Amino acid sequence: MSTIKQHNRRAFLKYGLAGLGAAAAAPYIWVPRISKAALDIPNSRHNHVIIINLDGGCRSVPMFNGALDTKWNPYGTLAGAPGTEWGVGAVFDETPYPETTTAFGMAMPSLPQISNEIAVIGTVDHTPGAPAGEGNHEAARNWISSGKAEGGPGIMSLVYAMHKNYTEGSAGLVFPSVTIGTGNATTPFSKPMGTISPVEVPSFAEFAQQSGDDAGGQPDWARDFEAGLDEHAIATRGASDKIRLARVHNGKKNVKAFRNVFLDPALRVAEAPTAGNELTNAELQAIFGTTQLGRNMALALRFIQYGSAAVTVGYDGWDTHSNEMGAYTTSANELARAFAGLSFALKRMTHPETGASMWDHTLIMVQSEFGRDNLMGSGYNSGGGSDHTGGPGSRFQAFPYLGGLVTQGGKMFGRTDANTMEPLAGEPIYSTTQHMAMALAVLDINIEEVYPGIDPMNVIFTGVV
Amino acid sequence: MRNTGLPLIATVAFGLLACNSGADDEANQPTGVDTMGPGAGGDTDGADDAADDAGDDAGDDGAPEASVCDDMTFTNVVDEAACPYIQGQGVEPPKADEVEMCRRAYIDLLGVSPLDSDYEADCKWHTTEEIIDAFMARPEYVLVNQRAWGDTFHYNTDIVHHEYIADLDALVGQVYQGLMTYDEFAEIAATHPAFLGRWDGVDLVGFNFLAFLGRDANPAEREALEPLWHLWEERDAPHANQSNARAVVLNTLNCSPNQSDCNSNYWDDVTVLIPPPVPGDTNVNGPNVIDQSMLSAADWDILRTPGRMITEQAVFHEAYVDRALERYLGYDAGSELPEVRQALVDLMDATGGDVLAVEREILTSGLYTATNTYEEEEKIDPADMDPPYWRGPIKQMDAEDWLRSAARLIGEAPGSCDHRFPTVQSGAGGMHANTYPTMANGQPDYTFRDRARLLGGCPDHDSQFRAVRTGLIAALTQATLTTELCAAATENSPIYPLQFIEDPEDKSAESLSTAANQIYSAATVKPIPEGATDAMMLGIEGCRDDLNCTPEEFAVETCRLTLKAADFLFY
Repeated sequence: MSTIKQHNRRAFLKYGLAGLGAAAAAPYIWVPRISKAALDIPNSRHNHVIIINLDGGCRSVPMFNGALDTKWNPYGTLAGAPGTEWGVGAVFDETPYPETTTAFGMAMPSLPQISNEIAVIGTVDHTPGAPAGEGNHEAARNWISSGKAEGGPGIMSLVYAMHKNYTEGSAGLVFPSVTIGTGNATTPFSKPMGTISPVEVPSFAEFAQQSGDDAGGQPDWARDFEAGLDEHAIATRGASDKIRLARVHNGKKNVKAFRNVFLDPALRVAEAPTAGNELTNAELQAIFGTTQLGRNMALALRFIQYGSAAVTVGYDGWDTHSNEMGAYTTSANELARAFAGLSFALKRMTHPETGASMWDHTLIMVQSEFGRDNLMGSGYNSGGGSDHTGGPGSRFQAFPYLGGLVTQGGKMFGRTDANTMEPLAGEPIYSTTQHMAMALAVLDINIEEVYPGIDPMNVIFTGVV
Repeated sequence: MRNTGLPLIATVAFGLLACNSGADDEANQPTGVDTMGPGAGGDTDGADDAADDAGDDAGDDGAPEASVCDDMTFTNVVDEAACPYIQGQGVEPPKADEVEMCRRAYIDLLGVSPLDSDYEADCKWHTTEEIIDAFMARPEYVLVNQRAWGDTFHYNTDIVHHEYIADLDALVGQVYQGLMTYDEFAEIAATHPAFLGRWDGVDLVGFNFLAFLGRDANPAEREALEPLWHLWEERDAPHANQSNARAVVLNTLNCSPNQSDCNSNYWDDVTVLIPPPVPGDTNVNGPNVIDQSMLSAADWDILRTPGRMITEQAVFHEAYVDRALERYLGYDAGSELPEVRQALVDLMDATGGDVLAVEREILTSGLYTATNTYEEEEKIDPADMDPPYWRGPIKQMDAEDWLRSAARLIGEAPGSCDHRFPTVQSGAGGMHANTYPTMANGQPDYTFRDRARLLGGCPDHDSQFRAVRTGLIAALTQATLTTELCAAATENSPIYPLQFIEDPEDKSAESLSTAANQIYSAATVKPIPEGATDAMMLGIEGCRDDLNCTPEEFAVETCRLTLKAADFLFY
């Protein structure tokens, strides 16, 4: 493994920062409960964030805010692990995963068995204070990718442009932030910030094809020749066109800079079972399984090992307007395995710079366009599915937070009425912007540059509402 | 028309626009006027001057004054509408040269980059209008548009009956052959079984909005308009060539007895209702559930009400115009140049939705035919950047177009994916018809499709949608693919690298330079730009200093780098 400094990043950064400044939304005033000086967020450039984007608008309530009327959660609830206050949905399978027994001498605990590691916010809302929630896919994608109504650079681009490891260099590894997935709600996480965009990986399988046997090998003189041609093309174009061409040029430079990563068989998570540092790919398969989500999670951990500050993994199939029942159970349990697997794997990985476990340096969170509503007493709409109209069921998403940085595991913040799904009196409501600001703050990124005036959510670290 | 106002750029209209200023001599130009415009001579100050002029010339209401334009005559409504923003600001974008224009039109309209021979046959000595008219008459133009609409309609045979998709695709083809107006098409498409089979419930409203009105429907619109599609459902109906096929059916029970379920008063007070033919029969698979193929013309006339209502919306033509402008110009010209949008909407209104007329007007306009070479210094704030309409468009090739173009240069069959069927289905009678190459075992050859997907093309329209990918992984993919492609070249390939090496022992700068230029021009139909000569010489000297670099290796590597160079990838 090599250490890479990117001294030339500043030159590119200037486009993005300027654009960001211009695009910054006026802060809306919402729940400024504590002063910034009192914020207690475990921020460090050594931390990592993993976001699982539930593409299409996930019905999160039956999984993570299950103690509600059948209309909102037709599956019922489980007791969960001791100390769990949030409603663990009975849609989850409680059985531990036996596949890990051979390699680790134990069956990996299921999500209900580690529910006390997970803190849940039941009232994450794109537009707190607005008359209605956001039920439109396009508008919601702006929120979840950028934290802003009008959209803007995606959060993975923000991380790559602003994280100190990338802007100042690092003694450790600095692979860029990564977005894995091609769903319509996932690709906006990579919307460029000027010339800067994260690594975009369609899936683990396509990644293996893309890197080829030679990982973009090219003689230096050919690289120089090509770079000169591209630089001429950039120089002879208008300012806005230069940025588009420069993204391609930057991509080529990164192919060279990170060629060692692409030559590492550990990144061929499905094809090289014995490869891998600390955990082999065979062990990751035992942990995460062989589904697309499981393989993509394994690849995400490899990128984290190579220094990615943040990785987003898209998970499709949640826009269930009809015939939801079977599909939802499958999706929920695949997500549960990813959560359980991250807990299991990260505790067995060492942070290369601090020597602590990777678990201690990681925040895992989910994102989704909206929840679901337009439900009848049966728990479904007339087509056996659910919709997203901006009513309370789709508006107030129940989001889980996991990782060693989370100190309020098992706790529930933002309770909702069992019948109406409206937040109960006195319960806090958190904006999507606060939720995303928290992710950036954990990575020690100056959120004031991105979300001026916004207090990041911190209740999962402090327990203080 | 006699020029009576400031003849700012009147004498330099030089055929870029289909306009005639009427100014008959250069003596009319005031001293100090930069007749070349900011993009012509690499004078970045010129751009600033023009911007300053724009400020000076702006009227009190902020709209540009257009005295220059008043003195010009136009044969193209786009040029006329854009004039106040361009010539009215003292800017005269130079016209693209023949090669640049040929590549642009070839890729946009025919889906592939031209070879030398294509340029000679189809572009050289032809006027822009001749090129555009000829290309729009070719079947490739129809296919390119069918592919674009396939992305809009999210064709996917995992969900939809292949025959429905084939039928809707054929209708798109009729539109771009001039056999059907856009208005007629939309009326049918809004309730076409390929559409009805793809989405359900309120999503039918949302995706109709996205397809025809330029935006998603908001939740209230989805709820309020859903009754117009409320009768439609699907049923499993295995087909001999598609075991997972589902038939679109009309369930007349959905609004019986409660007819209000099929009533919407959002756009107008309308009820879309077909009464149950067998009153009292409530069997959900019985005679009151009718396969769409069994519906009468009179039934369809009722059921196509939502499509008709869509075509009556004020933004219906506007949405098409905006999409066409963005597609050909690469930026949101509808918003940037609202007068251009309106002019094209007026044209569409006047022709009842003749998309060919609209597209031709864009493709022969100065906005499209100007050169994209434009020297402007790097700027931090987008607000300080010169507007994109002061120069010609520059876009990145779609994955399919890049792959097909590269394959032609290598001499391989270009390959293709069938935009209608991301995956070919099969049943007891075998696979359904498709246009994929066939492997020896009779199965579809998905090699091209899978390569294109790595770069955002040939989308499955389920978890993957069309994207123009840039960045590290795209660059890595291109590096991998060009290795394969250039290695596969044979002596019959237009870009066969080794044909340009006359003497395998000759590693002189002159020999390598000749080879590099020939390889580059095989791909781009022009030699390496003079401004990039230093880059070429850097490569040549690097190869000469590298004992492992042979002339053959130099040629192969130059093939690779050319195919992924910005000059080839962008157009």
